[in-house]
Amino acid sequence: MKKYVCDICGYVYDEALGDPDNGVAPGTKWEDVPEDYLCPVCGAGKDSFSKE
Amino acid sequence: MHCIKKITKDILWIGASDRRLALFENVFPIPRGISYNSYILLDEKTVLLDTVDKAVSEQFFQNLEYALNGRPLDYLVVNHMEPDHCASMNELLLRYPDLKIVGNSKAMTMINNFFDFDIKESSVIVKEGDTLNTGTHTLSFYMAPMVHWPEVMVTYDKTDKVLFTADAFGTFGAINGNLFADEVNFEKDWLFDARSYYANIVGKYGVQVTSLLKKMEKLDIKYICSLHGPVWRDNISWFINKYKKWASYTPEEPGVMIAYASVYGHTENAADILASTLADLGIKNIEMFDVSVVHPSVIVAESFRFSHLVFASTTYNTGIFCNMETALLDLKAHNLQNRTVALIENGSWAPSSGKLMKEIFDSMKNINVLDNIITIKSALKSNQRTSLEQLAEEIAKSVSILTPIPDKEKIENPAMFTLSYGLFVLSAKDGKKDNGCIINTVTQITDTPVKRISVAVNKANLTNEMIKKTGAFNISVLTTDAPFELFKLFGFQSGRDVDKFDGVDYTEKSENGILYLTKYTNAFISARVIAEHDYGTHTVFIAEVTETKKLNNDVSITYAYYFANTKPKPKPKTEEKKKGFICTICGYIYEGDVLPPDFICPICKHGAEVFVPLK
Repeated sequence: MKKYVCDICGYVYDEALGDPDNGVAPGTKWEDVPEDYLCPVCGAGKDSFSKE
Repeated sequence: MHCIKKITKDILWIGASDRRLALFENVFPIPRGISYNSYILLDEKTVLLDTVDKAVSEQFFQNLEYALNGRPLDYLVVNHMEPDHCASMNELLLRYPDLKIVGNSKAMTMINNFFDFDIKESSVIVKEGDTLNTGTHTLSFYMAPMVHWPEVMVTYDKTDKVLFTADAFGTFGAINGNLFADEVNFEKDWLFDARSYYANIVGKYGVQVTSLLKKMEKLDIKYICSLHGPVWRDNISWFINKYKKWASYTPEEPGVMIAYASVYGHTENAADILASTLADLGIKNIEMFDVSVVHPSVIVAESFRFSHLVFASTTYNTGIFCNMETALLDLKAHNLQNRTVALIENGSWAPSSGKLMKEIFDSMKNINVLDNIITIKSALKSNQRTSLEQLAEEIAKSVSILTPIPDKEKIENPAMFTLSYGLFVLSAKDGKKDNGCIINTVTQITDTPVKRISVAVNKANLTNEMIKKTGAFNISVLTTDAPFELFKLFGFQSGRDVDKFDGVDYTEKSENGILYLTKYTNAFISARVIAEHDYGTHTVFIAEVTETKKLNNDVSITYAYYFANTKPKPKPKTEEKKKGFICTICGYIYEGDVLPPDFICPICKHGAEVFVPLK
């Protein structure tokens, strides 16, 4: 399971944990997270994330 | 005793200043002190907007008690949860236990993280655009994530047209009697601190600040009330324009900052000679800093100001001299972009600081590091001096392109408007996206042995970025048949917001894979870029023609024809006469008695100088 970091605020999306509060189930691969997903901390889009 | 200031009939400043604090955020030296602004709205309900740092809480509570004059405090609006504003929340709730706390859900989470009290009963969670009616005033809340924390929001009072901007538009510096920016000489006495505050505290988040500025454009703002520094009620657009520049990482002024790291003075000597040569070449805007003497926050702030930055460093323990490395990593952390950088390295053996400094800048966005990196071996010698002087010439030329010509009276637009042009759709393709824009600036440069053309493209256009990335474009030559709708389609909207080619059924693809128009045109020209030149607002692309086709014998449209026939005429005088100014480029009308000198046409992006008064 991979991790992706928000370049703006540092929030870490962990594929194993997902983001259930925002409708992303645990285990969801980053490629499968919806394109309009926003960082739950700062609101940045998927294109601001980098692989850890 | 209380010490408060009146802003409007119902809104008071009840903050306080700290002139003893040495380091703001435990890192930034603040010799002029700092103010912690808190505001109270006394309407049918009483509303406090943010509290203050614990250092000034006693003054704050005296101010608050005096302002309330025995009335209860109904609401606390939390625009920002940094402790220099929220620290007094604990004490506030002890004094006013029936208080309702208004904030977004992120702020509520932070309250629970910083403090131990239970706010469930007293919290009012707000979202984007929510409002709070307090009697004769209505407050609206707009989220401003990462300006400069994730929970930040701004509050707008529609009645008095006051925007409470949290830390945005803040500055270092204590309030010394005068609360309002128009009461002080802001440019002379405060701008250095305001820039330093922005660059160091908010500078990394230019994109997010730009989003906030866009939201602000939709509001009628008469007052800006920040959490630090003076309140703005006059000439607000001046400060907003500074923010637009800083947030877009655009240099404030053409000029050169030279920062050097020197142990025994040899690298410093090279920096001095460079500065002196620049001055001899006519450059007047030069600053120099020894990175061991000034705090890194000064380097960060001045880098946000200047267009050209020179870094000269000795090599130290096979790395960049420590204080220079700190300063450069600080620039990177603050997301600095869009600068021209020159490098000088020194080393009595194995000089490597130049390569290492370049690596840092290469990892930053749109930093143009000049190829001419000067290497000194202990002390400058005559052949390196020659290279240094050549570097000075290169920098000076680059700076002077950005420097406006001083004698503006001798230069008039009417003469410039006599130049004749065609009109074209410039198109490009990046990955899956097709895009295009209207330009008039296409010229043939050579015919033999190779046909070459030049096109000048505004850097604000997405098409400019696409051509820079792919090196290829098409020109569709427009004819007199081209309707105004076509100019609106390709010229009055941005490819960043829409797919301009969506629904356009009169296109074909040329051999380079890029679309061209088959209707309203008489030819297309495909070209590949061989050189690119930056001239501030525009990029000039020099390109070799790779394919052409003449489609028919229809007449090419000229700029003059477009204005005389294609563009809709302003409404006739029989209708209600509008007082205002009209854009001579696209016809947009600005209504009002005075056109702000820094006005930018929202349609075609030209400045106030192309507007003429409506007759």
